Amino acid sequence: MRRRVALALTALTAWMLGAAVGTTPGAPATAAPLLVLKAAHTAQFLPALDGKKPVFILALGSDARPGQNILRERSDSIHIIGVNPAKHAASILGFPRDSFVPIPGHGTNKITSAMSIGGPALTVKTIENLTGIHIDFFLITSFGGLRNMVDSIGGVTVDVPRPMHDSFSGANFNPGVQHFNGTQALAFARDRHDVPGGDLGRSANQGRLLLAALSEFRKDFLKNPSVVLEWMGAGLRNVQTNLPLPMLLKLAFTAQKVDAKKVKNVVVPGRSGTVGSESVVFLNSSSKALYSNMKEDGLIN
Amino acid sequence: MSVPPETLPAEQARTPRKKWPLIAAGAGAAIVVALVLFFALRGGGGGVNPSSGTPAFSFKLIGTKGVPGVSHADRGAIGAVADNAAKDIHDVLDRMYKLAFLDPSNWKAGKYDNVFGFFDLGASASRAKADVDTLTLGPDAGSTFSDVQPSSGTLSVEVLVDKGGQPVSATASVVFKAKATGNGGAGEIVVSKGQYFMHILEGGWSIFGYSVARDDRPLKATSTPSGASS
Repeated sequence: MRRRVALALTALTAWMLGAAVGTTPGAPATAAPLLVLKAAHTAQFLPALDGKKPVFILALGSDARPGQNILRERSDSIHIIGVNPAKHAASILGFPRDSFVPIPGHGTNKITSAMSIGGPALTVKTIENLTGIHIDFFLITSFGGLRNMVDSIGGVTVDVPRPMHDSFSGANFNPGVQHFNGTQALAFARDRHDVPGGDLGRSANQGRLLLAALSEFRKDFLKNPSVVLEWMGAGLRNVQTNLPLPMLLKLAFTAQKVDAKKVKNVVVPGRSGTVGSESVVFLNSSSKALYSNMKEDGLIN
Repeated sequence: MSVPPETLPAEQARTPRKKWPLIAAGAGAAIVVALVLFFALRGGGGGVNPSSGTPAFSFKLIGTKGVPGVSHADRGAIGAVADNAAKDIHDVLDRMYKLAFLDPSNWKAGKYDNVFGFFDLGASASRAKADVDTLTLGPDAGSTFSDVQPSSGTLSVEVLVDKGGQPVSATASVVFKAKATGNGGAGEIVVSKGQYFMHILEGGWSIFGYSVARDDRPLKATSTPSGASS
């Protein structure tokens, strides 16, 4: 009898131990074999621009004051943005606003006046006539528009190349990397009094601002792709454009692939001069090579 | 010269009249097929619903934001437009996730054709088909799992509203979790998270882009999934 009890106790103990071992975390489960987990994986389809054909966008900054029609005042900032969808690359070509160029149907004048004479359509025509580059889309903003846009996206980080202290524009910056709010970004874009080359230096700084915005967008997009709508909203509220919404989305998805550090920011070379009492910029003859270079694939090589 | 009218044998004369009902029926069928294809393929889910054996599930809407596309917009009106759009998007994604992860008639067969109707025709749908591993429970789910039950799901929606006050584009950020039981009895948590880029078409909200990750985890012994089902 005692032996039977001992056997029963041993069996019970063994069963309990076995059960305990069987449920010990980490022990291989016999009844429930582990599932083989697939490694984390992602799927992404962001319909960007495609094809080999470059896209050219004319970005204009109007000097319209509050209450004025931004489409009928002078354009103080003039840039062609060339986008090469296949290479996920872009280039920026700036024009000094005082460039003395033929304005179709209106003789020769400062390029800035094309918009006050004939709006964005004539500005586009002037640029196309000058460069031979077909402009696909234009977008125009104002002082207030730029300020609001930059504030809407939380500011932009700019590497200021040299000291800027100009009471006219309000620029008061030391060299180095700094984060601008809308008002500071506007001052940086407007200052031409203490930048090298005046109008030319200012155009280069405006290109720097575009690149700073591109970097900011990529950074934000990487963190959360949903920001694309915030950025589009900020743009739509503050620019006038003939870009249809689906194209704007494609451009945004293209932009998030473009490395801002590899984007060339070039200003058409020229020299200062005067026509009558007006100070103007005469564009160098070498600029023609620049245009044909960019026309080919949207990029300045 | 006049040609006397030919007289046909009675059978031959009747034949064309007999064909009319057939032709009419054929044309009707073609129209029905065309309509079915149109509504099935035009995007927006086309009213596809999960089968009756699908467990109940609904995302918890944790945030809605309206993004005005015009300055000086009426924020209240923008918010109302965004709320309405978010309701529709909520419904679309509820149905899509049920079909993609929970409908046993889909995952047991490893076929998800009705999921791709939620994507735009063309590039978006064909890319989605290529990404079936990530966007659904997977083609081999039937041989891997014996049961799948929803665990939780959150959704937040941002809606871009145009100058006419219409919703034009939206992003939907989702985190979806389900408890899947393997054929051998072990379990895992299926995790699908990311963003869907959507726009509104005639048939409703349709997905034109996505950035989605699958990050499945082993099911911990202590975890007790609480359903977000409804």
